[in-house]
Amino acid sequence: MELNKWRIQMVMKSLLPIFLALMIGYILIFISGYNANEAFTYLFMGALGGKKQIMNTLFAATPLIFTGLATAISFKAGLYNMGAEGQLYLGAFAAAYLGFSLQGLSPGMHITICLLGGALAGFVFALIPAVIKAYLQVDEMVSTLMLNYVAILYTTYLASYPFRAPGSSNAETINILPTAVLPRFVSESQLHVGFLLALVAFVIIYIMLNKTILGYEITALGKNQHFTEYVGMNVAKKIVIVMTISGILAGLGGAIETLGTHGKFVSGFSPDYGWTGLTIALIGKFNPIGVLAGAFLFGILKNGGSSMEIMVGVPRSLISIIEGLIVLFMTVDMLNKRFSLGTKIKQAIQSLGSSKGSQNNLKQEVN
Amino acid sequence: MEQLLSILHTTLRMTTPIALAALGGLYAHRAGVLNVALEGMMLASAFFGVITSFATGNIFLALFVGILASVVLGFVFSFFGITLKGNLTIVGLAINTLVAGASSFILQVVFGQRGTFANQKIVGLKELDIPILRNIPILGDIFNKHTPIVYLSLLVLVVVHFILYHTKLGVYIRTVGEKEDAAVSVGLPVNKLRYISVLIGSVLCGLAGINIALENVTMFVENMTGGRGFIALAAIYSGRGTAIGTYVFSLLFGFADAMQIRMQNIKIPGAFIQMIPYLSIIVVLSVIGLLNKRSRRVSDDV
Repeated sequence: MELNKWRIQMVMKSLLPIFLALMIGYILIFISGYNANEAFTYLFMGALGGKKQIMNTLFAATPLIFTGLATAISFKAGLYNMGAEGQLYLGAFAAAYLGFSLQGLSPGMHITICLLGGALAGFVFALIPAVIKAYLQVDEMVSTLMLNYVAILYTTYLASYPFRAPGSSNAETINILPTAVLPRFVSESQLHVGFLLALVAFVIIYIMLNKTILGYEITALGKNQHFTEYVGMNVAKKIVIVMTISGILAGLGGAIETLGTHGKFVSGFSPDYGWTGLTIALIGKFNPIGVLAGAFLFGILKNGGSSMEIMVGVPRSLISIIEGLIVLFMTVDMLNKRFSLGTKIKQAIQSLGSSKGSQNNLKQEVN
Repeated sequence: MEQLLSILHTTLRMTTPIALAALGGLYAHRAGVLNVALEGMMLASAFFGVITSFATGNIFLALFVGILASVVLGFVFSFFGITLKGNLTIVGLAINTLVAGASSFILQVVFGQRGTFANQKIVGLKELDIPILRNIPILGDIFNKHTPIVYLSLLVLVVVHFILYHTKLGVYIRTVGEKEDAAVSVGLPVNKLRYISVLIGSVLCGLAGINIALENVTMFVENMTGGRGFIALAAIYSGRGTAIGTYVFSLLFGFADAMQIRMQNIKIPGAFIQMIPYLSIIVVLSVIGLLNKRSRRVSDDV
């Protein structure tokens, strides 16, 4: 009984902010002079009204599952990898490059190589902030933020100059070969096999976090780094492992966008998947199930939002307003929760403010 | 030489919004509040500044409304993040999303414009031509002919430094951030000080937003702040939470921006130039980390 009650409370806590945000969205549509009932009908019918609509919603959720999981796993370990966006871009470009340059492979083989390439790109790019965090104590939040810009600038350069498709007016590469394309389930919907891969990633991360030693260590690391050092865990090594798993997930997400959605690398293709993934991970409380639910919610809003725009003319930007409000209202429920980001930031600031940081590092060194 | 002076002139121009946001965020940072909403605050100020300038033709009113918008967001951020103790990062990201959505939405619904809003009637900031400065070689080339906000930002640097280290308010703010328990036990109004820190940041972000939108472009473009809020955060971190350090790193970004604008004319891909500040922050922090490690090892041996 207790557990049931708790569950209902949890569901209510997440539904209330959504409901409130939708209410405000409704009022905004109304005072902007549109037919609000019609707009909301299209919002929901466009996202959930039929098989095709639901498939498109899942399609919209696919990259968010990857970036959400990528962020969740690192944040859970107390590592603030904000670099999913950049890792996603490099993964996407690597997959595209392998997709159009490798000839004569069987489809299964070609797709696998492209996915591995995307994962490898994400891995390598996450290795930089991981290593300088683990061994030089460079704050990962700053380094990953900075590397995002580097990745976006670099891939834009690649798609604008050396690998630009001849005659294209946009910064994009040529199409990948048919053998590298992730197939769609049905022709009417854009949903492709990448969604299944996202579910596989979800299951793996879920099991890893809940059933393996590494998962236990990640949770321990997130709760108290000094304790884990004390009991003899090699923290530096764990930092590198967690950060690179996170990078691999984001890189895979990018690769899947290239292979399933665009069929080539398009510069600036991501409408902030990395940032949305970060938001999803935060409101999902770094829990894979929460990430999955958040990705679907944002998928519904994105997909329904475009149908609302096409059918009723309500600007799509309304969806950003609703998303922002949902996230804002959800923070209130986190009252008094054991939520370590605030603590971590306080620590970071303390160590910057005084020279306390070096003392902590000293402890690390001694151990 | 002329080239170099012109680059330095642009550097100062490009540094200004970043430095204002960073110096604004610095108070919150020192008070133990990570203000991710700097970006949204600047964007809101840019948007409402442009709208007001268009509607009234009065630049002072535009400045006032822009700062007001940013301050309102500061209250929202503080209310959810400090009073309700919501997660600050989430609240900040939510505000950024909200502002990006709301500015596009209002633009489309009220003004029927998509993405950009440019109009003859939008009055911009005038560049100042200072008679004494004009006649000084080199210095005049770099420091003359900027918007008033650029000069104000230099003053802000001095004031921020002074307040943080030489006034009671500064000591209180730093205490709240460094030793919250101690601050509580001596009876400091912790939440009030945090509100003040965030709101000072809002005012400076308001100035930054106005300078971005109303200096020489005089228009509003979706997401025209372009991540400057996050760059400002990086400048704060890299500058180790000091006013001068923060300004120096803001200058680095401003310089790279200026270089990249210059490079657009000669056909070198700007991407690599643009990468310089991001990469150099990583290199600088790594070197600091390495030096710290070395010195610790030495002291351990002793």
